[in-house]
Amino acid sequence: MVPRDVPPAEAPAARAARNRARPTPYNAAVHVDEPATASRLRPRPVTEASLPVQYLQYRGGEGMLAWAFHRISGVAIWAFILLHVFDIWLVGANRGLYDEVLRLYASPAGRVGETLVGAALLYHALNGLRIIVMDFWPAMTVFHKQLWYASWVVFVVVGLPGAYIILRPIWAGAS
Amino acid sequence: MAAYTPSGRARPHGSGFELGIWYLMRLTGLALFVLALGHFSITHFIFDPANQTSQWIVDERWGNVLWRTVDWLMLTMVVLHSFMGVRTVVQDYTSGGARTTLTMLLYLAGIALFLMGTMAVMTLPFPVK
Repeated sequence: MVPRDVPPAEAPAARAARNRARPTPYNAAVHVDEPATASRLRPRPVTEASLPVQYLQYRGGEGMLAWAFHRISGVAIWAFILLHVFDIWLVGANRGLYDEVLRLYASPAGRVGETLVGAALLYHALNGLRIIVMDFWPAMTVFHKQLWYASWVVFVVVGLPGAYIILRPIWAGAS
Repeated sequence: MAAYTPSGRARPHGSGFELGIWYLMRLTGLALFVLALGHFSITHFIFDPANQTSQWIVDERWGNVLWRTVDWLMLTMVVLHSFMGVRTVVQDYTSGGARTTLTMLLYLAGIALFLMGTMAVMTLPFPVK
């Protein structure tokens, strides 16, 4: 069945030429009357059939997930900073208590926690770099998904050996 | 239609406090990319938490002014970045009196934490040699 009232699809070459002609204003794609280049940045049209999916995905896609993970990891790191500055303060204020907190950090549960803090830190750092790149080099917003995937590659390549080093004493019995 | 951005936060228009915060977040973020990741690598990959007793901190880690300066710089950056970041979160989800109260509490907590960290890094005695 051929749907009626559907405008003919734009030829890919013509669309690419139009995209090249218009620079992407960062964060401004939705504010101009006609969303410019990156069709990937445009919210998907909400139809009745797509509504449940739209709710599940919010605006959907990598950009939203990158933002959500950045916010969650950021608040988590903030919470850890509160604890961490306090425990360093204890070195001067109550040295014995600091050494007890340190034993907690070096315990198996503490090491799992530090691995999670490190993961949050690494993701937040890499995605933060991606944000800075796009803020000061707006053309890169077109590749915001690719930049996100690249940050995950670095996350895995750096994170897995890092997690191994932190967790190794648990089964090595060194702590 | 809600504003959709690939990530991050739109640069505030004009000039003033909010634009200053926007730049501050990026500047401190870059600094922390080096300082915080470096700190985590030193305390977890080069050394192990199990060995970093208070005695070790006095004798080794904070045994000279350079490392105390680096750590104090990191404290400054992390307090600015994390508290201004949480401020953004608070202002996204609250309004009116709750927003004002929470923001002020956040500023107070940030100042208190900064003073605690500064006190720790500046008043700890140097090792007796």
